[in-house]
Amino acid sequence: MTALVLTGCEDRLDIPQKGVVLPEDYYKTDADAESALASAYYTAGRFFSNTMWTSAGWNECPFLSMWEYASDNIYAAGNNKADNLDCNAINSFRHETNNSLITGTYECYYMIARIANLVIDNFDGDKADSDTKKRCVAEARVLRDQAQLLLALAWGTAPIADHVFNSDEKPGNAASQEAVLQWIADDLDKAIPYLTSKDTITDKDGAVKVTKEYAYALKGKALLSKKDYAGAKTALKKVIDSKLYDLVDAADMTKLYHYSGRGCKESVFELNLVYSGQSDYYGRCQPNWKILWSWRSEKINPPTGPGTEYVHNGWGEVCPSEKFVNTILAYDGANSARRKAWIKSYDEVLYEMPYTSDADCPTLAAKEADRNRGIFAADGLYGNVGYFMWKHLYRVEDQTPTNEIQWNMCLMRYAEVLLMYAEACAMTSDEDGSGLAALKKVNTRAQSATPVTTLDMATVKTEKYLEMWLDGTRFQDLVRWGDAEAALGHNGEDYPSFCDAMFTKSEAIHRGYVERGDADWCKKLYNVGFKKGKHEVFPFPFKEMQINPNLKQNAGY
Amino acid sequence: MNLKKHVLGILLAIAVPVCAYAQNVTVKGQVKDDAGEPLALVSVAELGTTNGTVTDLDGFYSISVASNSTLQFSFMGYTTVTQEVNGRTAINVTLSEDAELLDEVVVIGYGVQKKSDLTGAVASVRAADLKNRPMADAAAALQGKVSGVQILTTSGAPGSGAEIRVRGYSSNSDKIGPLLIVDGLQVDNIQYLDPEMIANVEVLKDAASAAIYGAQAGNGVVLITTKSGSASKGSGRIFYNNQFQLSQLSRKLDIMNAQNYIDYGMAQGFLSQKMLDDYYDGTTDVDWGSEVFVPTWSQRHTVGFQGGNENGSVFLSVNSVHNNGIFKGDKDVYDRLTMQLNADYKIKKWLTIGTNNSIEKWDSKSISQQNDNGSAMLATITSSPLFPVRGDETHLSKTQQQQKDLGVKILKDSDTGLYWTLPLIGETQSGSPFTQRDATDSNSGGFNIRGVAFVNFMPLKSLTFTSRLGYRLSYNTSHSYTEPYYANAFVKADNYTISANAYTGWYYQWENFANFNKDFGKSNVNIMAGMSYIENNWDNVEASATGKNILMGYADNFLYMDYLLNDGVTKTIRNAPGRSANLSYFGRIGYSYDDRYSIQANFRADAFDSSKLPKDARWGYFPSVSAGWTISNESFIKDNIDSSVLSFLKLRASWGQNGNVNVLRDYPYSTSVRSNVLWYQYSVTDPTLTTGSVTTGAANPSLKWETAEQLDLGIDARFFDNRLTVGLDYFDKTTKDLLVGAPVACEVGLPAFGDKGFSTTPTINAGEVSNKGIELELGWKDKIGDFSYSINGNVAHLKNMVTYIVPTVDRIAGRTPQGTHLQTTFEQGHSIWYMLGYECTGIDDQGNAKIVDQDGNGKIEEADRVDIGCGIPDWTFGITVNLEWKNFDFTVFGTGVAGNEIYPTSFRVDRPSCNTYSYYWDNAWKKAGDEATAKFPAANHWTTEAFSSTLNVFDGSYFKIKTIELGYTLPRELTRKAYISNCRVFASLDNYFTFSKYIGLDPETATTGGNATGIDMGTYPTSKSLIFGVNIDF
Repeated sequence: MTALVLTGCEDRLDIPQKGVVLPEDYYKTDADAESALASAYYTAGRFFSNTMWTSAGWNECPFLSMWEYASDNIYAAGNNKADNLDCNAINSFRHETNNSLITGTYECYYMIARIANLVIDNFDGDKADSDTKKRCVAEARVLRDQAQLLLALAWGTAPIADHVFNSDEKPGNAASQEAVLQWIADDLDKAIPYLTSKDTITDKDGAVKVTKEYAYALKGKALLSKKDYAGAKTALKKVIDSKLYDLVDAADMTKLYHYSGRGCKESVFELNLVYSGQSDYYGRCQPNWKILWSWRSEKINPPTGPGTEYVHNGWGEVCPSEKFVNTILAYDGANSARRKAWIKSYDEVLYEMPYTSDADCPTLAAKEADRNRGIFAADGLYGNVGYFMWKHLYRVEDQTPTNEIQWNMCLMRYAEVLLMYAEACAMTSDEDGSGLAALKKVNTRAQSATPVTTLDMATVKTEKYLEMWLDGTRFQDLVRWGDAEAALGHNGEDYPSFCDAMFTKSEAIHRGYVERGDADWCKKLYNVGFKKGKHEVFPFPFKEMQINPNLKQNAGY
Repeated sequence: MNLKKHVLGILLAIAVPVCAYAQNVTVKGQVKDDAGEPLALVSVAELGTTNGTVTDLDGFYSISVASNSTLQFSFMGYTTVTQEVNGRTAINVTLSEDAELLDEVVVIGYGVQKKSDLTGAVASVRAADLKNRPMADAAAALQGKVSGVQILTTSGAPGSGAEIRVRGYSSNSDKIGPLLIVDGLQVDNIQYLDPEMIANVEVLKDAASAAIYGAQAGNGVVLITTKSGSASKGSGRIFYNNQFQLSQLSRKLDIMNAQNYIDYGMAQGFLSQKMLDDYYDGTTDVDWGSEVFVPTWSQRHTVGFQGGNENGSVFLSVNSVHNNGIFKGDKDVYDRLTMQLNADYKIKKWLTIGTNNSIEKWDSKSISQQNDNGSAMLATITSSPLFPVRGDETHLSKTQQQQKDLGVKILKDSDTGLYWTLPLIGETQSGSPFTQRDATDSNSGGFNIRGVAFVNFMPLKSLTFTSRLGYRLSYNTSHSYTEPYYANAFVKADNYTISANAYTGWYYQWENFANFNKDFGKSNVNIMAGMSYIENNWDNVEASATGKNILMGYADNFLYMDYLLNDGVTKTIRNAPGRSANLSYFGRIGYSYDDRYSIQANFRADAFDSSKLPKDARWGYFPSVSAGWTISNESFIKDNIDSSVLSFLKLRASWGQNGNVNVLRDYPYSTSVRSNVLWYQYSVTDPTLTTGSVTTGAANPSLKWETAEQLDLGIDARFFDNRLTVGLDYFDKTTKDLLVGAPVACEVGLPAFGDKGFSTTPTINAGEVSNKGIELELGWKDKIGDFSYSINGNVAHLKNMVTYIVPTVDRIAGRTPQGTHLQTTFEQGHSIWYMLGYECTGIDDQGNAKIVDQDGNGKIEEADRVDIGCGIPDWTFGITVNLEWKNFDFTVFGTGVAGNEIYPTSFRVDRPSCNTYSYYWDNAWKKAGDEATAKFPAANHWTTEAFSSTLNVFDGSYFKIKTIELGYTLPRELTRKAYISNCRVFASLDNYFTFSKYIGLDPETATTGGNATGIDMGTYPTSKSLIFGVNIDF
């Protein structure tokens, strides 16, 4: 009897795990393929949007943050010079191998690749016995290739994630950046035959899944990065010729990237996120970086009057650089749709946005003397020259009923396709004038004060600087063009603050001014600025170098 | 009539067998104790016969015996006396309380052992050591009482339990406390156990003693025995103890006052005279320490009944604790009502049954602490002294006014109706401490039943079979409600949130074991063998809802989830019942010879359920051996050294292996597919989810047990007629196959789905930790006339080190406080969770911190960080002095630690306008020449590096006089008239004196658990208390 009891006891030790199935019972049917693909989309949506639970903490956007800080688009700002330090390190080109944002970004891209690879490894080849499986594999390929492209652009020879790595695998460097870029283009070719296209130009849902055209756009970007301009031109032309995309009207430029602009005809691919009270919504939207990028809220009296689009809750870590402000004002002019959609001047913030005190301020003169608006902090806004980011500013329309953020992560916009195509044409030939037309289209829509008349690289560069500002491509473009040292060599030398004399000098009316008392602090402490031969790529993360003996560090780190 | 006698009479009527035989001499007499009190129920036996009797209520007996016989007078807890009759007819006897340690019985796993036979390192704490301590937590009461046992009070908040560390820190797991066993029942905490209910506590420190508990004993074992009725020594006892406790902040909160804050702000640059003119009234100077911490009263009452005889005993006590913390208001409260009911009865000579039960009802509320990203405690430290704590609308910040205009709630002081205000210039990291306190209404509570029921079957005198069922039933609930409010951009709630949790748990353990114990001439053999099956079940329902508008109404009577709206509410509901189980076989064999040599071997085989290890690797085997040599019983000692000089001397040695299961959970060895946990939406307008499944990827199929191996060498000695007691132990403990979360290559891409419970780090057996130490216990007791005194001290030294970690893991990052580069780290060659930071050699002539560029590459970067401290003390010690003179008794008890470091996180470089400890500004470089004496950089050079360096690491050593207690026992002649046999009144000062150089509120609680050891994120300090109380016995 004792033996019986004891045997019974040991059986009681077998406790099945809840909420799981065995791998051998999954990855079989078409439905499983669709399910595995949904996971790949989720993962791409999540880890292109936010770094939650990664080395970068909760506050950054893997698709944008690292790339933008490593550019002349913005200042790495925040509360003061001691704030936002890892981003400041990138912004001033003094980042080390243990930079958390670089590490986290690296992690995110490989996570996206892994979950996509789970679809490919389990349903490709012999297992691709249905159209559904073939399409699922193709869509997963594109998601993986998007991640692999960013890996190649950021780290050059980052290992190719061409299969699901075992947890003890330690892959080595790819042969060269060119080889990875070609691998991506070839892989996209494998996917393209099985992909679908948008139904019509107004098909919004067609913008939130991987299409043939997105694959072509990505292939174009890979080949352009490889300086295979002819190849890029061919691929990008397919997108243009599909006539499934167009730029939104100038008046609608402010909607780009925002709730009201989701799935618009300009969007080639964006990762979708619709709020419906999902309990795990936060894990997918994770609003922190959007709040970090918003204006430094505790230093300004906020424009939160009736009808405002501004949400008063921000850390001000991303502010337009003086160089960008000057360039867009000089080239597009203050009244262009592009300037208005991308940035706001201090005067616009003070006098054109709604304040709760507007009721007491019937005239402009009254507003000018109104102490209930303006930057009141004695130290002003750090890393600011009087212009405020508007393009990616988290707005009232983007808020969910529970104050989270409902914001699609756009990975490819038609404007980028047009600009890449223009570049490919400018670097090769433009027999049919379609390259110039593409460039003109972007320039015209922007209502730029400088109309484009010819297709040349100088014009392409300026257009792209302005059009793609804060969209993650600037650093990639400068490196490809060989302009990085010239454009970024002085990054980190100047962190001005922007103050309002009403509060700092007791003047009667608002007057914004730039304060440079301590603007050179970073230059004084560190060897700042882009160094040729080193900063074209980012360092492989320190923590990765510790684990993976097969990985060779990039030169200079 | 004497109440005691009355009770005894009843017991006697039930229990006393009358078994006197007519003989040729009738002997009569009275038995008394040392104090001259008659002793009832003393067994009086004619040796060599079955003849015997017991004394009556007044200690008298009468027995007919052979005139040449010998009488033996024995009574539990007293020395046995034998008297030859020699024809006498009147024999009066005095029995002394058996204070002789020699035959003290010690509880060991699945049995008891004479202390003199012990071969392992077992420390004992008796009820007397726990008496009248002000804490309601059994673990806290152990502090300073035994060497090698560190009590970590990580919070002084009401109801927070102390943690126990036995012989160091042996794992990187966050659960490295000992196995806790109460009356044979495994429990997950001993916080419920009021010290008043404890008879004794045994700490099994060495591996051999603990080995009988196998896989779970790697961090030591604490065995607690609750009181039983048999301790009443035949006479029933009714007792009532109370305590009234006035608690207050024990040390001053030394943060900057207004003038210092202004000077600092000007020097740092965030304050200007203009701003002060505009916003500061010029006089306000808030002392946040005294605003936040106020004296509060707590109380504790225990009433109990004890009774017993030879056949059975009963103990019943009811204990009530009301503890209101010193944080102002009633948001930090702990209430507990416990009943302990212990009973046993010898039904037949060969059968005893018994049960011990504890029924606990508790409720608690707490305020936030230990969070470097905002808490009520951190808010207290970082609040500006320049602006009032509360104010009317004119004191609100602009943004608060705006939010108020938009209808958002600004929290108010319910006493005055004024708003909790924030500084108009500068900021606080966490808003007002009172906003933190009031933002959320939450409470938790529940009840627990814990107990055992056992049957002892004794077919032979030397053989006992025990079958014991242990059980824990627990039910607890928590509720929380937050309304949208606004303090500043960081301290606010945008939504209503309501949540409720209900937890039900039932646990049982069934143990069957046999003990055989027999003397063969000078030899003694004891054998124990048994099995145990443990199963734990739980069922937890969590529900929460959040949204802009979630309830049908917001009056108090609507604040329940029954009144949720349907639309616009995000609802979360979670439930998954769970079960865990383990099965064990164990055995022990001991042999001793002539009270000189003893040797013992233990073995245990443990298997845990499939959530920990795969079926084919689930069994772990844990052996141990130990031996003791009582040299003082050797003739060459006995014959040569007077026992009044050397009373006792024993050498002990033991070796054994234990396990650690705490790191293993959630099927770490298996890869599986998580079904439908992810989702995507394929429409920009329709939020329908298409769900997706995904494999978990961090499995390690080759996992095995983590094993702690320990060698212990010990000496027990007593000198000068047992007046001087010495215990000395050396131990060397190595934890092998340490379970480490091993980071995998980033390229593998294990997704960081932390919110979905995915692990990105497979657990591997990859490290080794060493703990070596010496423990010394010294005691002296003596009596000079009416004056008796004792001094007991203990001290332990610990050397903790990670001795190996697989190279691919290199170092494991623990905690990096917000805004710093300091990181607790687990790395070979260092103490576990040491502080990795910069070394600073002083301040330069510009007021900059001189950070050492370790690698000499001209840059200060993270690679320049070195080991700058560790939160684990090298030394722990305690001293207790007891004095008694006539009716007075006096106790002083102190304890402390030395050789540990504390890193306070109150200041954040990116939040320079927060207030902080005065230390930094007081010691800051202010002008040329200060570099010789300054301990901190100029205010405008308070860099991340400076705050991540040795400049901000403080000596955490402290010595606290925990108790100074004076008691007076009222004369018995007086109390007897009120049917009170004993009445003692006492007053004590608790925690009144702390000796420490630490800059924060309390060096004792200035640590956060787990991998944040030594990091002070703002913890609830222990308070000092003035205590009055009465102990009454009937």
